[in-house]
Amino acid sequence: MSEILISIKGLKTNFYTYTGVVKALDGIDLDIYKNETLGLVGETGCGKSVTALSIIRLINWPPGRIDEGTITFDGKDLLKLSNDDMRNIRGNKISMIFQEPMTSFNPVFTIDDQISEVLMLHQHMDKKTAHDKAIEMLAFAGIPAPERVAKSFPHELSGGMLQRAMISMALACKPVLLIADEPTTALDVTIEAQILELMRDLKTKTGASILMITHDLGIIAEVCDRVGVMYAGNIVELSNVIDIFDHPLHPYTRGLIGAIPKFNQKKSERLDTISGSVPNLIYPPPGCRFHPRCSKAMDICKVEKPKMLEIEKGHMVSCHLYTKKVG
Amino acid sequence: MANLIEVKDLKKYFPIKGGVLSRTVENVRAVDGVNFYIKKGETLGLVGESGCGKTTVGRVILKLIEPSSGQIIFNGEDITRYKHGEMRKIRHDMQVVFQDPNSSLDPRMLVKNIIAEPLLVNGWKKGPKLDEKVESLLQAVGLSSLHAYRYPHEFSGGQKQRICIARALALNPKFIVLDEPTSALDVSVQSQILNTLEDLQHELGLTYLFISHNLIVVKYLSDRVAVMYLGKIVESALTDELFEKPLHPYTQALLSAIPVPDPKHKCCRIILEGDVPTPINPPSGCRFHTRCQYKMDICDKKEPQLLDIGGEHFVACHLMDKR
Repeated sequence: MSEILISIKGLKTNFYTYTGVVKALDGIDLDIYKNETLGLVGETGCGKSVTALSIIRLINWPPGRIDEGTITFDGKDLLKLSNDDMRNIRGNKISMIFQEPMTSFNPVFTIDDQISEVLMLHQHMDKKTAHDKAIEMLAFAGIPAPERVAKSFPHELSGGMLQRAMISMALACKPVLLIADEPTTALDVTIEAQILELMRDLKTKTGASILMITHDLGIIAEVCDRVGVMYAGNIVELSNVIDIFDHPLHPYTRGLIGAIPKFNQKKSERLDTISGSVPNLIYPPPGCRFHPRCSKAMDICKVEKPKMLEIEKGHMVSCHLYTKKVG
Repeated sequence: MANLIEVKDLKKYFPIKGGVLSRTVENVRAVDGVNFYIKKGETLGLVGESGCGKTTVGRVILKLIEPSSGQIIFNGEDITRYKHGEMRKIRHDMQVVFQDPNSSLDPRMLVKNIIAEPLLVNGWKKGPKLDEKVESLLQAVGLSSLHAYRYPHEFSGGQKQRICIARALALNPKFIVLDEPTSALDVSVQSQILNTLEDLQHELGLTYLFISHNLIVVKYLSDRVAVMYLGKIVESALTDELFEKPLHPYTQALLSAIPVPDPKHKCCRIILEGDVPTPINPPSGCRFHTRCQYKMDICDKKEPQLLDIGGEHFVACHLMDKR
């Protein structure tokens, strides 16, 4: 768990739109270790998905562009690779599962065709071997009657089934990093429980690292080892999962945890709220991007962007409240 | 407390037409014999997975769609057979807030006009009195009078949902159907809306039917909860009782499936096999028997009735027959 698999430094991704430059990522630093599940949690538009898409370089230009930073994987900077080299990594060593399984498959090809394609492209298998391997992968992802499912078109399968097929496709080439972008958001709770169970299971079986992107703190608590909390293009707090829930440090993390109704909360107890809403990232607030909504904002928060500080071992936070205590 | 709403054996079938003559070939049994009541001033939570018919129940009660059979009693009146004109007279007592605020506000109307529309339809005249009313409604949901002269696209999702709530409140309704009002919103905004709904209920003595798939939110807002599966209510009870000792195997599985935001919480999770069957040809007997871990011989033959086991707790399961 100690070896670094992928290391992101100072990543800045911008989107150049007609109304202005959306500064979606404002210098992200993040390490993902081998065989861990790292969660990224935050609200809509905080940059979780952009981080994931930047890692596998699926940001389209125009309007999006990765302007600064490095992503070191296997001793190489992914951002400097040619498109062909990147294509060899994408779907092979790093693969991704998307939010909506219904729209992520090509509707005019069978599941078998789509999984085999990945294997023929990356592992140079012939059609017959690829087909057998595809069925093996479907069975591996817990699909009953994999032969029948392989012959089906996407519209013939349910959401939970498609998400399993998607997972088998992502794992077909034995990736070392699996990026899961809200894999269960479009699914019902009982199906969600099945998929989360499957992902936990697969991690132990394949030894891959998982980058789990979600807005649901419940899922984070269920499956992740470490968590990064994102707000408006920054990681504001990064820690192991127990510490984040036990003693969150950043005011935003505290607000986020307070805002979800607890399982044992009485109706008379009011929920905590974070006033206001997420800022427009074309004109992000200066200094700490959270200060307009923060109840503990000080003068310095409006001018200076706080640095990421390690408060306890493995518990990092970027907030001026803790700047003094350390140094 | 008296019942504001009582629903008896409500059914809604959507016909599937086919063939050259467009005859009804099959029916989607979206709601198939539902019984419940809502008392004045209480919140009934209606939970279930997608396609179980919870939204259809909400719409049929408001008569936005006609029921196939059954009875709806609102405030002592049987409104099941009411025609359009008769419905209009009682519509001001029953309102609805939909899931997606983006698609339920007319993008070309000012917020002021959106909120004033139900008032104008019901006999209010334009003038300073109307403006005052709109302003007070905006304030009631936590917006200010400045927002009245803007268009819906200028607002965030949470604010749009507040506008929808203000519009629903305009005619001082007795009853509001909340159809997944927070599922399109972020958690920090969701908590603001939940608090607002809670406050309004206290101030105005409203009765809510809260439809959601998010069990934790339902638990927070509801006094009683009814669990639906494939067009039937399988269990209903007071909120605390339902969450502490769920009796129906489906409720147990549903509750155990919620991801709990606490990493130390490790409970025995019941993972259901397979998917929800289609409501076109629902399984015989108990509709849950295909996924139930306690399935007995009787389950696929006889349909269990909703049994009163005391303390407003109702369960429809053959396991209860032995008691």
